[in-house]
Amino acid sequence: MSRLHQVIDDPEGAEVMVQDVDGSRHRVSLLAFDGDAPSRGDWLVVHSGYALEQVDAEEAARIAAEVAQARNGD
Amino acid sequence: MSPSTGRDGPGGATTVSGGVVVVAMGNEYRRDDGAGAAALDGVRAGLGALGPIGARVVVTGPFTDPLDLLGEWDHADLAVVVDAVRTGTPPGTVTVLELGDDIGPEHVELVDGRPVSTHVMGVTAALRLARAVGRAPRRVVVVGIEGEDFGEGIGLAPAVEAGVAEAAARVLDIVGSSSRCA
Repeated sequence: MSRLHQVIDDPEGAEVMVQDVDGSRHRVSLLAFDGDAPSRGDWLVVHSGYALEQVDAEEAARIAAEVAQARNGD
Repeated sequence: MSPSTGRDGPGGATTVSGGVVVVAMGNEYRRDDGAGAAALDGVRAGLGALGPIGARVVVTGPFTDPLDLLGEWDHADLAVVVDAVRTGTPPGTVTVLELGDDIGPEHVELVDGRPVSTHVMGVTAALRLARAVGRAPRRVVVVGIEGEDFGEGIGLAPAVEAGVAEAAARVLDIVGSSSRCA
């Protein structure tokens, strides 16, 4: 399953702490991440515990808000 | 292009590069929200009549989170998303919506003058994310079945049940038409 998470701490080795739009926090792997190590505030697409891609922060925040609304709505 | 299916990525999501995928969204334990999942039975039953294209269609779901679409529809030629919606039409009404380039929330708020449900908003958000990371399907068509009762429990209202059969037929039409256009 894929999720959109925001980085909330500096990476430690090949892992980084992220937060889902529902507030839940996870430690995810950067082993499959292509590009420079992400920084706090960056948004990542995470698939089954592996960060895969970084998404433009402004667009990601809008998408995350819409997904949260879709999860909670009918 | 001949489609290829396989396990891809660290999470092992099934991908359908170049192919056709039919995905149901919704929660079968929230009554009419299970309409999308129910439509899959009719879709599976009808694929054989479509000939070779039918054998190559991947049918999957139901999923409850719109972001579950990522990994399921990646790089597909056509993704058909079947979902219960609430737009204000009579229960069981089937609405077909092709998602184009303009799919921000400001663009999908109304369909035929009616408000689009949050379900469709979730699909458009997932598509924008898929486009942002270069994994989007070429075409996405949403087949919505108007639901009425999204409370806890199982089973569909009779009117919605009738809509499910129509939705499955519309999905098969869309899939069959795509093969004729290819």
